[in-house]
Amino acid sequence: MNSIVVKDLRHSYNGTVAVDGISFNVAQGEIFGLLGPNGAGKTTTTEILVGLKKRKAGLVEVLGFDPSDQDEELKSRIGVQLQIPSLFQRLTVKELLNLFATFYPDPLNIEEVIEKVGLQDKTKTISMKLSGGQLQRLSVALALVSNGDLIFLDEPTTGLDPQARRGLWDVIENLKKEGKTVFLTTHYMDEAEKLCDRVAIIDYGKVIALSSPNDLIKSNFTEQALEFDVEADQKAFLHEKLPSVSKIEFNEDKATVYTQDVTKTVAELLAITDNGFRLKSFTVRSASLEDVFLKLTGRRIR
Amino acid sequence: MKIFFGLLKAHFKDITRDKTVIFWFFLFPLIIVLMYGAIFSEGSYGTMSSGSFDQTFNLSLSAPSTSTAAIIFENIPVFAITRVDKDLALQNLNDNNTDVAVIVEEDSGKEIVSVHYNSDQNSMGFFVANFIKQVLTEADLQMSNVTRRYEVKEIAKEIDSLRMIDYLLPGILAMALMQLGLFGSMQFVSYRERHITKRLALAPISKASFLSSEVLLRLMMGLVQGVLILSLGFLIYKVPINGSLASIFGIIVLGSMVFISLGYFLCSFTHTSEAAMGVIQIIQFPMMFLSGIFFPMSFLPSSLRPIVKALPLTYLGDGMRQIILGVSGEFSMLTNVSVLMGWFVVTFFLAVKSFRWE
Ligand SMILES: Nc1ncnc2c1ncn2[C@@H]1O[C@H](COP(=O)(O)OP(=O)(O)OP(=O)(O)O)[C@@H](O)[C@H]1O
Ligand SMILES: [Mg+2]
Repeated sequence: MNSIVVKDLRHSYNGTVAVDGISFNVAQGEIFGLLGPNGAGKTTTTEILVGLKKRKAGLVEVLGFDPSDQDEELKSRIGVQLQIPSLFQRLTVKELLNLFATFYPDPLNIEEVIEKVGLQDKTKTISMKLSGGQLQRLSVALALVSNGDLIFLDEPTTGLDPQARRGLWDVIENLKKEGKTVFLTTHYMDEAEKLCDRVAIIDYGKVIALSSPNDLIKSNFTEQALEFDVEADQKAFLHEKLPSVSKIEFNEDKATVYTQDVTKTVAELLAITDNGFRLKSFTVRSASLEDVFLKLTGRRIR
Repeated sequence: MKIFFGLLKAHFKDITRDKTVIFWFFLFPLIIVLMYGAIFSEGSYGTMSSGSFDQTFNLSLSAPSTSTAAIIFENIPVFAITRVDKDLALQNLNDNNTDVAVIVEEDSGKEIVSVHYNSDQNSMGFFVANFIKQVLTEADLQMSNVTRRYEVKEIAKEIDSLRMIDYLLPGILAMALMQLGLFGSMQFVSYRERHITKRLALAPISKASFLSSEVLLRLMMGLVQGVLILSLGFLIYKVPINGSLASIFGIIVLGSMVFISLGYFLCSFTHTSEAAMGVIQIIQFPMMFLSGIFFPMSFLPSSLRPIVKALPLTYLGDGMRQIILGVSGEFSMLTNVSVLMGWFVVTFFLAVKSFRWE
């Protein structure tokens, strides 16, 4: 069962192509991440899926509805957090949550939602007096209060402090446990790697990768990296003593060596320590989703 | 229904917590009342010079042949005089065949000039009476006699006199309703500009419930303005409130509806609050000064009258004055209500046609 079906979706703004024929499905109950550099078309896609924008071409189905039909039943079954929170400025956190709770047939208890996003001591603050991160959390809370089957989150953790981010990860994982489907966009690869069952990486409006984070890493990086300190006169000698290594990079007094077989390379390293070589600040690092992202898009994020 | 009241409450809080809204919509009209009250509470329009009249006034005059006052009147170009006897003069006034009935009687070398008028007849008699008073006082001064030759008595029927503040108060209420309707709609522009309408469009609520809650709130604010302005006028300046509550309520609602729809219509052409502000200013400023809410229409040159007669505020001001004071006005009440209804239907239709949610 798919909660979202997107086939060859296209959208442009007066000639500027923002979404250029993307296709993906989101299964019911999964956490799906849409990743991509600034301007890749994430927000445009999200806004088409929730019915805010009319697509120029392609097929879109959300919970079996076409979102451009503006069906009230569909709207009552999705909760949405937009990238830019826009709310009545002079209503308090609690008043806004109460207002949104009246919109939905089966809303969550607002006290619970307030606690989930950690706004307990701000319930009586009007939204224009919240800090950026607090406003962001309120915006997420308004998506949650709908108690919808499908929750859309456009950069839910941008601007949050590390603790609040982790708190929100728990909230999102709990949504999954409750059987809800989550569609999120993010710039944080660690977040996508931790939360998402599957991710789509888009760039210039096209899908350039679509898979689970692990598969993406495995298919793009078969090697692991070992890092350690090295002295200048030992650099040449490493090449000769480490046959299992495919590539060595030096960065000042740090060496990074890439290998398919970590055990063998470590054994070779230990062997040369007998010849006066000392292994310092040794780490083994596997490739991360961030490496995949950088490799595929060729750009740093943010 | 739950959603509608939820939105109504949200609008209410969002608006009333904005100090500038409270000031412009509630305090500002009251300040105008107090300001005008302080300046004009004793004054009347009769003190204005005759230069601005370009209408003739009918005088039924009864005076002895020796009366010098009668000669003065005959030399005033704006007076169309009919010489009759005293009874007929008063009869003419009763039948509304004349603006004023002037009875001149001689009494030990003095001329007693009684100016009779119906205070509810276009309010004109009142201005003529004051004009006569001024003219004769000046004549007295020019004679430089120590003893005064003329004594003017003003005899108004029904309402004792319509003071300037009486005339102005309904006009101020009409102005306040216009501003509430026009500037109030800017709230929607700012919701649109700040994407609040977009956020609400994601929820399963109808746009109609959002808009109707906004309109209802505006109507309620209009009624509050009415209560505040009328109470202040009544309590401080003893402005007579003769209309029934139901009819006052009715004209406030009708007037608000006209300007609320006009406001939404104007706002649908603008993208930002600043632009909306500009458009509304362009519309409301001339309207305020050309609509006769602050002075009788006859004070304006006749070349401007067609414009004046096209403005909805003219009819709201006139209707408001008639209903509140219980006097008759420039137009019949039927005309006022039909013109306002017409404006409402047209602006409502245009507002719906041109409406933009985003
Ligand atoms: N309203 C608009 N009018 C014109 N162009 C737009 C509009 N909104 C977005 N765009 C353009 O469409 C492209 C995609 O924008 P979009 O907001 O979908 O990107 P995004 O992936 O969400 O980026 P970000 O990571 O910065 O949020 C961009 O090039 C942007 O400039
Ligand atoms: Mg975006």
